[in-house]
Amino acid sequence: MATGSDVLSMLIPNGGWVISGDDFSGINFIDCDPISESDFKAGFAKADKWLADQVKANADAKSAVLSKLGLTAEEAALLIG
Amino acid sequence: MGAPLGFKTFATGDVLTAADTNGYLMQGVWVFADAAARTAAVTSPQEGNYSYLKSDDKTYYYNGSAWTALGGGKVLQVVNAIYGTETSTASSTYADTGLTATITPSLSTSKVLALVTMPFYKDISNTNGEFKLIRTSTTIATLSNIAYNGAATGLDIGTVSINYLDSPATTSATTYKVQFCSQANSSRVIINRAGGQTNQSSMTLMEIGA
Repeated sequence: MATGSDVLSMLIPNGGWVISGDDFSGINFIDCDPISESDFKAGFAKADKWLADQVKANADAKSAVLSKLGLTAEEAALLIG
Repeated sequence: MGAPLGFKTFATGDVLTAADTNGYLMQGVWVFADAAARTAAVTSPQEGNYSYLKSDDKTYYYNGSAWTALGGGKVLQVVNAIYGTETSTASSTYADTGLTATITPSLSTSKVLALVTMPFYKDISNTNGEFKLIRTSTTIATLSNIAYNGAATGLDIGTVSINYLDSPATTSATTYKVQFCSQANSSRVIINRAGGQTNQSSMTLMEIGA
């Protein structure tokens, strides 16, 4: 389940914020333009998919590197030990 | 009382003079009102001599070059604070983590040993964490490049620790806090998160007697 930090990462990808907990009141927009509380709350509904996409993109990137090396993930794990 | 002459083993038949009595036999723990009175009375202290000062209720020994208090290093008080809220930053500007503790030293000569433990996670992006331990508004310790792996992959390092022996030189309430930032502004780092779970940070402040 997405956290407030995930929502901010999705909505403000260039960063500049700090969040303590998951509430809008815990956000400190240090060096970025603030977003509205309603946008923040609405972001939770989209953040789970965004997170899954991030994880998939990361995994795809790793697979691409392994593919260039001619290795499977299992073979890479064996090499690492 | 005469100036101390040090230690001497008398032999049978030796004649005990007033100087011997004053310089050797009366050497116990000398009591003085304060350091100035001791300096006036003991003009040539010998290594191993002892004195007691009423001004601070401490016993001192002479180490050959200076009077040194006995009994230092005792823990006079301990303060502990816990902070368990997961906090993220995606800013290269330092911000409060939320972990803070306040101690009021009983003596201005005391040291404060600060022990900080903080679960830390670097998100799947190329950044690393930086930390500051701050007394009131003064930075007293800095950690840099924490969880650096040079790659856009997550790194769960367990905990970050800061151990620092401070000399606040005050008897006023003194607040210590930890700030953090993400070295790369667009990537986040998270405290109080380890193994995918929310965890707790702690700060322990120990007042150590001089």
